[in-house]
Amino acid sequence: MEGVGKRYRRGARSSLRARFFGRTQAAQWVDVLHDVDLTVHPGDVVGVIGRNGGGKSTLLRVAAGLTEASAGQVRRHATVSGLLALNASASAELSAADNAVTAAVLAGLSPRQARARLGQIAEFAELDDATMREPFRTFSDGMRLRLAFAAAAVTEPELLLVDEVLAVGDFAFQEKCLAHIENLTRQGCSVLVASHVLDHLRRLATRVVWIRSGTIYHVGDPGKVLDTYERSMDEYPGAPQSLSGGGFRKGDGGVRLTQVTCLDRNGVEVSSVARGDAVSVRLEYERHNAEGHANFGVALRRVGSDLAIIDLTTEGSGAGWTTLADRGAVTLTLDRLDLEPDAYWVDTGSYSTDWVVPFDYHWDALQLQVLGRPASGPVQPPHRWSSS
Amino acid sequence: MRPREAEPRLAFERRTALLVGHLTAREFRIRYHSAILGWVWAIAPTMARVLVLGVLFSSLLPNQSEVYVAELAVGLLGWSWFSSGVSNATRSAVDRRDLLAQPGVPRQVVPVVSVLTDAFDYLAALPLLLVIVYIDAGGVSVEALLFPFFLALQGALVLGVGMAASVADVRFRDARLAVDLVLALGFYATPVFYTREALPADLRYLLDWNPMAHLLEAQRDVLIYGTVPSAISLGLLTVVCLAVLTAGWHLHRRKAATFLDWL
Repeated sequence: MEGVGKRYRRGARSSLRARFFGRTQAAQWVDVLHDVDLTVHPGDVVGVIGRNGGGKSTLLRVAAGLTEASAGQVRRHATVSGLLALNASASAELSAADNAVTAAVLAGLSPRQARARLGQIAEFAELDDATMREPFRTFSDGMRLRLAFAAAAVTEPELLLVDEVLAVGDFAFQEKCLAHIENLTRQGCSVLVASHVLDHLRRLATRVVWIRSGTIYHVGDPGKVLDTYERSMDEYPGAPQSLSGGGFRKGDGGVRLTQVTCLDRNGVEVSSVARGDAVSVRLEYERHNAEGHANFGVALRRVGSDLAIIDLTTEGSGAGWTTLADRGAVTLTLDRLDLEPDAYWVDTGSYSTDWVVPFDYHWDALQLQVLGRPASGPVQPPHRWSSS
Repeated sequence: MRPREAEPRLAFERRTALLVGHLTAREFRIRYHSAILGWVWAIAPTMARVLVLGVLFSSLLPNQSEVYVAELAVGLLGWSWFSSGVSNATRSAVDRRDLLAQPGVPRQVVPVVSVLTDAFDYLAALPLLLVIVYIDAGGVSVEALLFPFFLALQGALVLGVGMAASVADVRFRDARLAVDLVLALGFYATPVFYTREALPADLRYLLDWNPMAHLLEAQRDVLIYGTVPSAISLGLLTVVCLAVLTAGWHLHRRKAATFLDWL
């Protein structure tokens, strides 16, 4: 693949009704993939990692030729077999054996070859003959997946694409699938596998590609890339540091929170608020990196508990990313705070727009007291009782 | 797993043909597998309609031709294939998106399988059709050997229209509803349960622009009346059907590369 890109239209109208009567918002083009260069040689196992929505599945679809790239070139010199959509064309009424033959035919065998290998398929899926004669509708999800993988396994693809299906079945069966893929690669089959199970990739991959916001962010030795990826989820921002005013912070400091305050409805700084009153949380920041946008988040949790009762982000609330200035402030306003009267921690953070990099995250730093009559239950919405 | 014996890879064309055959047989099995009477259900609806309309129109319109039941059977059977074939091919891309997500399956396979499955419904009823014609028209002439040719032309027409309509259906799911509406009207606008002669003279020109009208008339010509359509109308019909197929095929091929983005 050379400079491969894929754009989707977002917000395009999909029915005539929408076209004629819909609001006249223009369709936007969204670059799901851009400038991806990737070569898979025979015998290579290339692991693809990245956050959900980062473009992994699109990359596999484009590689399989299932959808056309909007830019760049894809060259394939191999017969492609994919474990992208399991149980395609499965019929609930026909027998499992019948469905297995169809799956193998779809994967590239002739019907005669497929029937001849039915025994192998059943053996791989660990299903006996009597079970294979049962209608497919009687199968559990696990059995279906096992059968689907087995049917694809008996074909000998030159390029196998696997999307998140290795976590199929129990551990023994997973082990079998992994061993099978290793066996295939020894015979010269190349594999492109997208997975969230990093241990599988650590074992299988000869190379790992990290897709981040539609483009290759890191590529190379599996150990290195996987370690970096894993750290980015957890330890990448480094060990927690103590804040001078109490509490802790984490993050690379790219967009640093300089001051976090709670304000009442008149904009006066407060440390307590009556249940049902309005409250704002103001995050003042200073930019130290070159990012133009960032996400901000505020979470409230009870002192002594890890569970966030309120967890709001600029993106999640629909406000989208915040455009950054060198110094600025972001304010979250809650029109009513209907929480059980108690002491709460106000945790705050700033993140990269794809959430991969935490810039600055503060916790156990700011407390807010909700005042009122003691009540039970975490949320106390405005309410009244009546009887008739 | 046992070590595999090396087997030669199948050529692309042969593999595609086998794939189409397998999937068509399977669709047919799925349709009638769980019914005890099996493929009887494939022909029952059409035969029931022939019976009902035959009785109805023979008594309502007494001055019908002597071979009305045979004309009706050819018309109804041909139209059911056209109508269910186009309708099913239209929704094939959206309904069979699982097949479109298979790397080894050429996109055209999906509408082709759909049209072929409906063709099998037609073929299942064909022996009965021949019996009806034999009884009602008092025999089948040698011109009937041309009948398969017209069936092939009809297959081309159905596939061409169906492929084009399936492209539309992927973009706008309204397409299937519009197609079904047009087909419902087409039943009356095509000489299915009547013949050209039954129409007032100043309405007959309407049929000239309807390829299905010409196809049904040609099928009746060779099967019932034992005549062969003129070379000009034969040639024209062939050209139109193949042109529709080519246009539909090309449109489908151009658009199918990005089908999955819309599904």
